Amino acid sequence: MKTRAAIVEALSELFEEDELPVPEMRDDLVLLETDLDSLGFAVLVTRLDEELGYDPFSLMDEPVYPTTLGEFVAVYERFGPEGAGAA
Amino acid sequence: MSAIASGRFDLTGSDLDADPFGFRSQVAPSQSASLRSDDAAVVAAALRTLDGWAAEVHLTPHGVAAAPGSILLDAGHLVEDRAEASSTAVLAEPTRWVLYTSGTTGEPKPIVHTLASLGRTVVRSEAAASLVWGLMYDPNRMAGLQVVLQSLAGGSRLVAPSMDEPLPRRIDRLVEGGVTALSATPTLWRRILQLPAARDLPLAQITLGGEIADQPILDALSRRYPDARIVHVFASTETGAAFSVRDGRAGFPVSYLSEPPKGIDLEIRDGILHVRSPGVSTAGPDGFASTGDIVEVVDDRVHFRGRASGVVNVGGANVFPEQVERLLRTHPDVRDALVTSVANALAGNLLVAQVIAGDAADTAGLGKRLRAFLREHAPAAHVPATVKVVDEFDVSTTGKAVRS
Repeated sequence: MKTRAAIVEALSELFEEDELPVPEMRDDLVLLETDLDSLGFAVLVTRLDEELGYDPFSLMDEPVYPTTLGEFVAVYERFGPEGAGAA
Repeated sequence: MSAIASGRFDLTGSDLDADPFGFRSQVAPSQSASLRSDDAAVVAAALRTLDGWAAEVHLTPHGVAAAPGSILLDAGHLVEDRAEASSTAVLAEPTRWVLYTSGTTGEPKPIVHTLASLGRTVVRSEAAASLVWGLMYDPNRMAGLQVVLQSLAGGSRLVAPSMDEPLPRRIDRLVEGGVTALSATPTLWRRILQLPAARDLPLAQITLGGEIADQPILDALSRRYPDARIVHVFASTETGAAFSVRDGRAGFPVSYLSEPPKGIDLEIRDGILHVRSPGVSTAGPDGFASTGDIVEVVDDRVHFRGRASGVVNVGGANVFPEQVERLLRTHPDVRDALVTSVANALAGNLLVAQVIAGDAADTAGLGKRLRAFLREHAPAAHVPATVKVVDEFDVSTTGKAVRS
């Protein structure tokens, strides 16, 4: 749950900084339908790396491209300190 | 009047010539020696007494192993009974002086010089001799050694605070020593301008080198020290070429391309500055070698934009971190900026920035405001993922902001 809160906070902050409308942070929010562009997501991953101490996208053997916010959070939970890792 | 005041030692020119540390009794003629000391008086004594005596002297910075088969010199204290005129040469061949590169792009590499080749840039004039030089660099590195050689050649005084002391204390020592000539990197000059004590430096000669000198730092220095001559130096380790610019403007005049400064032929090829230096291994058939510096011609000036090797690919766009730094420094709340890159699985790389806020700056939310500022003035790829406000950057022994 802590991971989700950190992601939602970092994501909301990015929308605000870029002066974009902040969408409702539901698990079925489709990330690419928001106004954040691909560079914006890259920025989010770098900030979360600083915040959480890891970047799951650089840890995974096969690339995963999460579509929704729920999937994005699941990727972080899977690779996090309490997750199942890359197995 | 002493020639070198290093904090630990205060030695006159005749002290330096009398082998004050007994180096000649530690190394037999034509043996090799390693010196590990960042004390300018020790380095100066070695230059005076071992040139023409030792076959090879390695100026070994901390963290670099002493050269195999060489004698590690002891320069811990002054010897009592000094030799007479120990500076006379006994070898026919010139002594090889070995300097080490700073290793910012890999392992430190030994580069062999002679005192003649090292002293090429030394200015011998009465005006130069009357200056009191300050040392802001490690005397083992090229930039610092040039300052030591300049002061030895001109018989002028050198004030060399220990590199271990914090910058404010080092500036206090330069003020106490009445330093009138100082050479430093733009990164160090931005920090020096921040120190109240630096106002009392009676500078007549200011030199900037080692990094790109931008217009704001040149302007800030001429406002603070209106009587000083301000020179920025371009020196290329790749080609050994060096020339200086004295008109107080960033970059160099386009006329240098047609009228070579000091006979150094310059050309711009594919946006990269090339220098004619036929002796260099990377030189093409026509003798021109790349300096690795990206340049751009704007009106009558050639401006440096960054290192070709420093280009960062952000989401497919090539970005020069130096360009973003320069833009950040134009913001009124920013004194200095350092932009580096981090690997990113989605974009290849992203930029991250550190900034030092100006004295009167409002630091609340400054990072966010600076990102907004960059978004307004630059393409998206130039906007760092994070902009952090810090008290200072890591500065290397060569005085450059550490880009790693």
